[in-house]
Amino acid sequence: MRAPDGTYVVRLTLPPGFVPAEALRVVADLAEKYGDGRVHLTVRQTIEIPGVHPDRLEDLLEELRERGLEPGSTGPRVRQVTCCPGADTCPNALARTVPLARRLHEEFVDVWVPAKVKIAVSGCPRGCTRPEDNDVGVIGLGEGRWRVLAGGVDLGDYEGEDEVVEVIEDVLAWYSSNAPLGTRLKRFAAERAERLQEAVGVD
Amino acid sequence: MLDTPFVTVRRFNVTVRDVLKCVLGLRDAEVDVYFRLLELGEATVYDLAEDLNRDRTTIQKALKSLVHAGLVNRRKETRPRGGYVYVYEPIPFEEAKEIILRALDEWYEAVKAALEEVDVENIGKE
Repeated sequence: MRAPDGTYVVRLTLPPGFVPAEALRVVADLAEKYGDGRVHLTVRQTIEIPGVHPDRLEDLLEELRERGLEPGSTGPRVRQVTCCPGADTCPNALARTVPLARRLHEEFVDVWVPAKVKIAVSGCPRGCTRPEDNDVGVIGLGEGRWRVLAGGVDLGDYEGEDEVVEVIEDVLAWYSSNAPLGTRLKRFAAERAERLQEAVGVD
Repeated sequence: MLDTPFVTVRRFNVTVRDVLKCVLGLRDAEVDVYFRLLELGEATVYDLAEDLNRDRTTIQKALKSLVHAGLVNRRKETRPRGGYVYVYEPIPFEEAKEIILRALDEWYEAVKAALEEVDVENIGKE
């Protein structure tokens, strides 16, 4: 990503939930070596390294990969999955969000879609990660049950991670085969709530 | 055929790979998988991973992208020893061309409309 001053901003992909301290050390090294010594903590729970000179961009990307990190997605792709810490650390949570968010991350991040798709997982209906405002939102209800939303449209409750993955797969397939390029899932789903519910088999 | 220029536009050699990347926003790995599938007729994730010497996760995601983009179809096949496997089949290149042409038109119209509106002093500002 190019900043107005002609330098580059390098966005990372981080696995959802918790970031190992070692990865943060690597990021700190890279920000000092290639950037201007600062990082930006993004609203989607990743890190960007700003101030990278165009001539050093390739070296940074190479070292990043060598040291076990990946650059983030841009363009018409599924973006990094966000989640709250869930029952691992939050006393209000009804579910462990991190394992599901990581599973969704592995299944979907960087997959081609007509326009960028943002997925958020919340550990309870308070919805700190704003599941209803994301293209796809998943809400933990406790006892292994999850509610899935697309563009805020309720797609029903599902038992276990496999069912959640399956319904999101159906949503993305429906979206990809129907939406014109460049149209966000959020808007496309909200405007066709009934057709989407029918496509994924909601009663 | 994939990487052989099929036309030269204003001294710029254009390949099918360029068009798929530029117009549909696909990546090299995805373009490679689609064209290998055209040669093979159909294949599973395992076949392709071995054939293209890439890890299964990469192939899996590339196939998901191609299914979403409408270039590949998948079907479930029951295995003789139980369970099932997904078999991926590319759409013929003639049909892919229609998808590309439609996307190219959309892209052209969008850029044309934006370009007509653009004002040099305000580029990049909203």
